[in-house]
Amino acid sequence: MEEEVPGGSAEATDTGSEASFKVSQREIEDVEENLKNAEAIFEHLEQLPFQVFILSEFGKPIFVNNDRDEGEVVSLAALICAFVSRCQSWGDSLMSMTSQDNHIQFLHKSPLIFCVVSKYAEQLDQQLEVLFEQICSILSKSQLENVYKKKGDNYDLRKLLRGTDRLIDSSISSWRASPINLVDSSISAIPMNSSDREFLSTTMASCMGAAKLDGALFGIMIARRQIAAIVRFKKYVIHPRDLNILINLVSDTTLKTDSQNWVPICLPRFNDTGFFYAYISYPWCNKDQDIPACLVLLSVKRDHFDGLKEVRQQIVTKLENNAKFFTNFSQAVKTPNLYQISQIGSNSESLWSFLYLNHSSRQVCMSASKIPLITRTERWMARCEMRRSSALSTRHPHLRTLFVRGTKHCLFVWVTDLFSLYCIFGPFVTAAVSFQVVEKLLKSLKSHEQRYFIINTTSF
Amino acid sequence: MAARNSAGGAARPGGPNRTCQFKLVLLGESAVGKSSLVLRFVKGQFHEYQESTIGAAFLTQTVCLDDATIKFEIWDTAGQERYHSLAPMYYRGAQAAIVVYDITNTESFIKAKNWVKELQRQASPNIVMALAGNKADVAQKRTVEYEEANAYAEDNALLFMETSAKTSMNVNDIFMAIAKKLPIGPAQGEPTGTVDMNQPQQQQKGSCCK
Repeated sequence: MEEEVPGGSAEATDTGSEASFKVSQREIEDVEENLKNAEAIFEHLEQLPFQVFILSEFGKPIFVNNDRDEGEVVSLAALICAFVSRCQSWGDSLMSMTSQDNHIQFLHKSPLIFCVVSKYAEQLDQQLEVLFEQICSILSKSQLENVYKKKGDNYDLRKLLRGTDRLIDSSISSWRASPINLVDSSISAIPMNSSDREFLSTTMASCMGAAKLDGALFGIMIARRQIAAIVRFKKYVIHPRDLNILINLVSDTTLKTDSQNWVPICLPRFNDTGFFYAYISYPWCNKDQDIPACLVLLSVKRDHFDGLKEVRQQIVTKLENNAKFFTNFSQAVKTPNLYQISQIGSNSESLWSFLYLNHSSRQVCMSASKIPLITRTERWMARCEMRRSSALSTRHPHLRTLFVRGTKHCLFVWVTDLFSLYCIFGPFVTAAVSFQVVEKLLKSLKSHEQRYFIINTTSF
Repeated sequence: MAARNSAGGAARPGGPNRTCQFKLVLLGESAVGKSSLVLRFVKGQFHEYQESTIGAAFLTQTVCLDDATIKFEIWDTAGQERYHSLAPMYYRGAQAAIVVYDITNTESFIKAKNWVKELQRQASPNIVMALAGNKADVAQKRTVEYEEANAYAEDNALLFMETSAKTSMNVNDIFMAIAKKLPIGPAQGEPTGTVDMNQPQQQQKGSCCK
């Protein structure tokens, strides 16, 4: 590849070696068998994709998704605990068990045990890690470790987690909604004009900077679980996993009102022993207007509410006073304009859907829905394909390019050190044609990168 | 303090009255109906399945008395155990507090008494305190007797009402009763950070159109 990689400053340049152009093409021989399997997988996924258990390492249940009978939960928790502690007594640790169509993954992070029973095997370990961090965000890791020491092995952690079930639940359901976001610890930017995004970032940064609040570190504008802008104090960095915890928090319906909220939250990748205080407001969600954009200002000081409230007011006033920006911004947030495949020209008819992940900035760009992947089921099918190929490339790090011809569609995967690209093509393309389209796509993404990615994080 | 006259903006037209801002905090066990009381008072709404509050929510509502307009800055705190250590942040500097319990839950009344004790020890000595026995609409399931709570309130010089966010019984009344007990007039009012904060905001609106 001659051109630069879209979506962020590259840490290393692609070698562009001939090897990366070689496409391994293979025909799927036993089509019927394959379809049957695929159908079965989709059927399972649609019904009940997974059952999650969280318990203390002393066997006390803490959380289950899907309402289950308490007695059943208690006995299952005891069983899980027995499995885990038995393996531990052998000086080993239990990671997973597989039966015909059930994959059971365990994660023991003292004092908690996480377990997921799933119909599909991909990235379950990562999903459990995400859940662990979700719990840490509520209590912090140090508090979690101390609570059993203070209150005894039999302590019911549900008392302390009261009211947070729905945050854990929504974290779990976001696995379903996004093909790789959470588990691959990446984020996506809400598409915006580059000048608008710049105005937004500089406004947020200048207001945060001018307030001179010692300990106020980040300002983030979130809309539709995507990032519109992020500003930071000096060189402080916020990890995409932490950002996803924040996104999950602010998406909670109780916060989407005209109230302002002050929420202690631990961002475990930043510091798993301390708390941030998040000033959360939806400045334009009230009886007059409904722009679902959320402004989050993060400070490490618990008494910064009043200061940040003032910063928020200044940001809102400045944004509203720029009428041109504000119109564009409302539009971008209300009706997000995803990447249209037609942008890359005439050959694009054969490309149905793509998902691009930039490894250095950890940002994702996904194509807008396009015929024939329109309905929920069709899009879900595409997501599953991408999820599976993403898992495949994780399992086989040497895999660079892959072209799979199916009866209904073709799958094209390209993984380099800098990016991963998953494409779904129509059934009639050849590997060579799909490669040409993909090259055009990357060029087009590069030329629109400011629109679909956050390239610069403004500091204050 | 000059900002008081311009703040709020909800003063009755033509009225000669002042606008005063007061910080009010709601405390109490989780699920007793703090958010529901606030929602009823601020928006006149009630949700049967109100989700539990995360952290604390800040809302404002203005009420008019005969000689003054009072703008309440309300901190609706979460009742969960894990947030307890944050409570001082909200009641410190508050001029009013409503401690809420659920009349069908004895445990929550005990918790309420603990909150009152904590406020008596730690909050401003002039704080106006009210006790609200919420969920009065399900009085048939009552486990805390009116007389018991009333006697406790009298002993501790608290305003007391049984309320129902669902039927709106006594909701506005308890806020009004607090408003009437608050020290109105610049000399008596305790200075709050929030009063001063309104000043730059007001100026901002005029000066920002560059």
